[in-house]
Amino acid sequence: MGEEGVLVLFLKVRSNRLAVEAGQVETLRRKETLYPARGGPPDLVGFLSLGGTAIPILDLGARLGLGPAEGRRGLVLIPPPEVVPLSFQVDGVEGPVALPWKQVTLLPRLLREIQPRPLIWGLVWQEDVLLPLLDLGQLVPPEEVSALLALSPATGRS
Amino acid sequence: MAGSRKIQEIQEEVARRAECPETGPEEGRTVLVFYLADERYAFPLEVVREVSRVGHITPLPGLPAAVLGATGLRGQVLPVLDLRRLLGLPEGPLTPESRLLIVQHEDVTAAMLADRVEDIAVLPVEAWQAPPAGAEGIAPFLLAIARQGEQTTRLLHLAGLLEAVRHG
Repeated sequence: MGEEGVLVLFLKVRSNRLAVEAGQVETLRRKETLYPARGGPPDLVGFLSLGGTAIPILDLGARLGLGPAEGRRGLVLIPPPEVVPLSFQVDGVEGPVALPWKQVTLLPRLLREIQPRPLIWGLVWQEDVLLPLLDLGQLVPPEEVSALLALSPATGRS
Repeated sequence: MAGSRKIQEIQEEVARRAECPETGPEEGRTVLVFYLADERYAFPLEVVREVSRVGHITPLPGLPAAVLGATGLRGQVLPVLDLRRLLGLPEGPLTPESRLLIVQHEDVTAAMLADRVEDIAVLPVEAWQAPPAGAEGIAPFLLAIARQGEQTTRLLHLAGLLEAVRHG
């Protein structure tokens, strides 16, 4: 986040547009090298190799309940490991776009009070339409992250 | 009477009363009457800030099913709650008569989706009964029930509805 506002990426996920703070994405890749998933949750579409480490790829649309996981080619968002050591398949990405603070709002108070904590931390105004701001770090509970990492094959190459 | 009043007049009346709330009429309780699944419901008028047409609702993934999304109303972002889902009623379509009831409890404001708004009404004290006890169905969300002849009006407990949303 800068002094002037928030730098965001716009994600296309099925027919939805979502936003994510750009600092939550370290790398954006085409989904080329994919190690198949054996077992795991239905939104696990495979693994990519990053510096010799296999990173689980989850279908973001399926994770958000927007439809079943799809194996077709797309883009993969890789967050910094301190956000979450996983990656997410999306249909498209635009940006980054610097939004002034006046176009960014927190979730209304009632929704911030929902337990467990929502996957969305705010909303952005974009051309008179509100778009949800996802928190990639909240998408997968910590215990599930551990289980997914345990499924990762040893790749031994990048 | 309800059916003859245009919705705009009701909206203006709600807005006027939200600006200048009446102080405790002894002869009855003033409520905003609306319909869900062909049944008559009401909120105490003092919790209703505004009645609005249904504009664009942005879906918010990962939230409880009763949260339809968020909407912008004159620059303010409000959560949109589906009263049918909150009360366990069957799903219903959006129609030109659907309205958002902008309600407020303490410092929480929300938009509640209703099938249609009937009118502001003053229901006499003698019509009101305590709600049925129990935790099933809509019972936990009822403040009272008013019976007038064949007509039953269920007065909803806004704080209870909002608390249900917080706990998914």
